[in-house]
Amino acid sequence: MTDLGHVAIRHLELEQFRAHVALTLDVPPAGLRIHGPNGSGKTTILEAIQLLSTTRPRRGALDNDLIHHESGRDLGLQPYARVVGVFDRAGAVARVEAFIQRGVRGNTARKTLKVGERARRAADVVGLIPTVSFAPDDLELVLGTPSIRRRFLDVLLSQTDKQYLRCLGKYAKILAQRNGLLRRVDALGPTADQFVFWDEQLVALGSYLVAARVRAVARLAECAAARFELLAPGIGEFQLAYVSTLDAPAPWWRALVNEPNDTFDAAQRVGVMFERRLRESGVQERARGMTVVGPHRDDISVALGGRELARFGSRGQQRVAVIAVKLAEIDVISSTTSLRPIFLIDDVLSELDMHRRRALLQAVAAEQCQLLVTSTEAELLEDPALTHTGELELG
Amino acid sequence: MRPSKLTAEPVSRLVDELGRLPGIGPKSASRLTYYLLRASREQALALAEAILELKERVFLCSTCFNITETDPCALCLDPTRDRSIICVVEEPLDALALERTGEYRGLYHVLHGAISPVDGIGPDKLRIRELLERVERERPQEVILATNPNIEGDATAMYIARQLIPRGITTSRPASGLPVGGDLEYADEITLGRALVGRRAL
Repeated sequence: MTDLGHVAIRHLELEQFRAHVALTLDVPPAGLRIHGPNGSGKTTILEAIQLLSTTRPRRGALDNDLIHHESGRDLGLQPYARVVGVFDRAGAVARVEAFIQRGVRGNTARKTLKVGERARRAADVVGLIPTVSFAPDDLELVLGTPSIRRRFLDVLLSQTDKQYLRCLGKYAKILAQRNGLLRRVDALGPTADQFVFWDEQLVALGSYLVAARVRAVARLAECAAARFELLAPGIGEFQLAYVSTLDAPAPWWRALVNEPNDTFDAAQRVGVMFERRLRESGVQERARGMTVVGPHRDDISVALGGRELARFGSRGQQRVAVIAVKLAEIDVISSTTSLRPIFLIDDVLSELDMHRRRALLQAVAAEQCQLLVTSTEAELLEDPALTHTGELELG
Repeated sequence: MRPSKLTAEPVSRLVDELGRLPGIGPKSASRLTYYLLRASREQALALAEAILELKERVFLCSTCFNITETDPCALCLDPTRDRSIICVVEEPLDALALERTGEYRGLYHVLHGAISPVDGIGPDKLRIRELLERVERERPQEVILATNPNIEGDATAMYIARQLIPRGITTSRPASGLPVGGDLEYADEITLGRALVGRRAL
């Protein structure tokens, strides 16, 4: 834990970004407590930092939604939004800017990203400023659908593995095309040779995703188990495991974590399995008109002492589990990127009892992560762990 | 543009029509319309006739499926072209771009699209069957698959290559890599990676 680079936002500017017409703020190294009534734009500040980190708005939102609807009107311009962040990153200063402008036609929006003064592609910006975000919908990590857990993994791995990000984007396109082909299967439909290209690509890209996820979940599981034990000692071992539609025996998956030198090696092995499963599922996928095996159908199992937490755990245990996973995210990002991520807590403190709240804030402070935290109630932000953070009241 | 009593019906009609063209928004469409309103009758007629002629006199060459006003097209008939090599492209504009290089002396074959199952475009919707028949007929030494270097273009090239190789036809794909005059340090990893894979001995 010694040589970790510090990452912190120093200065943030929002222009026509959601409800903020113009907002500039300086953020102290320890972070910021943000409070104010509902609708005052607290979440938006965190979302802006998330946008600069991941290049994407928060879950379920589109780039277009970020634009203040009346912006640009008095200037005769198309509506637009701009976010600029000045960050400390391992001793250097990084200026990241996102500019989004609505298109002339339809609901399109164009996003341009800059690092320093130079335009960059999204893939080159993701991972530059690592963040861990903890918002109310993260509480669904245990109870929600598999897609929420897959997205959690995708966001985490995209920040730490460039190859993953590239494969992820391309996999989605190949999958859509392959499913398009499967939907047209009928008497006159596509022949086997039309599948060759899509199958090859699906396996090559998907194998990397599965291999990277299996290895990341193994690391995450270890850290989360340790975190859980500290938060709730002695109630059982907290277990995370990657559950793949490429079902193989447990020892095979374990070997995948321990033996190969790197993810590429591991992906080679997964590829053999993926290809076999794809062949086996041929009848089923033609009947259903979709690809039924692959990383897009996988999940993470969450258990306490061998029992599925979503079904058998108490509400409190499920909460602790989510906190443990979020803290483990810091551990994984720190160990793979050698950077301390910025930690963003949006509105979840009110969902936790005082004991858990304190434990969460203390753990983040102990990691020396910069912490930005929002709440509707200022009292929830009065915590010794937040002594050195600044305060921002929105109204 | 929102309707207004200030605008005569023929004006708003032309604005609407021009606004449907690619790359032209409502502002440009009005500017062009008002320009034409002031332009001479001859100039406006010349434009109208050019558009009509485009639709009436231009069709597809029955050999290479490029746009032409004679069949076969001038390029297919040109005795100075190298008939042992066919370059397959997605769109007529791609053939034009290759022509501008001045490096290519062979023939073309225009597919009019790329395989994209999501959009319902399979090999049967493209001029692939015609390409295979043509290859059987003309027996070229080489077929260059110059579809775009994206997912759909790659899929199309591979699909065609799998049909041609068993027929004993040499197939190739243009190298992709660093732009001339570019800086190595600014190239993205994918481009740089492809450039390295496709490197050449000096």
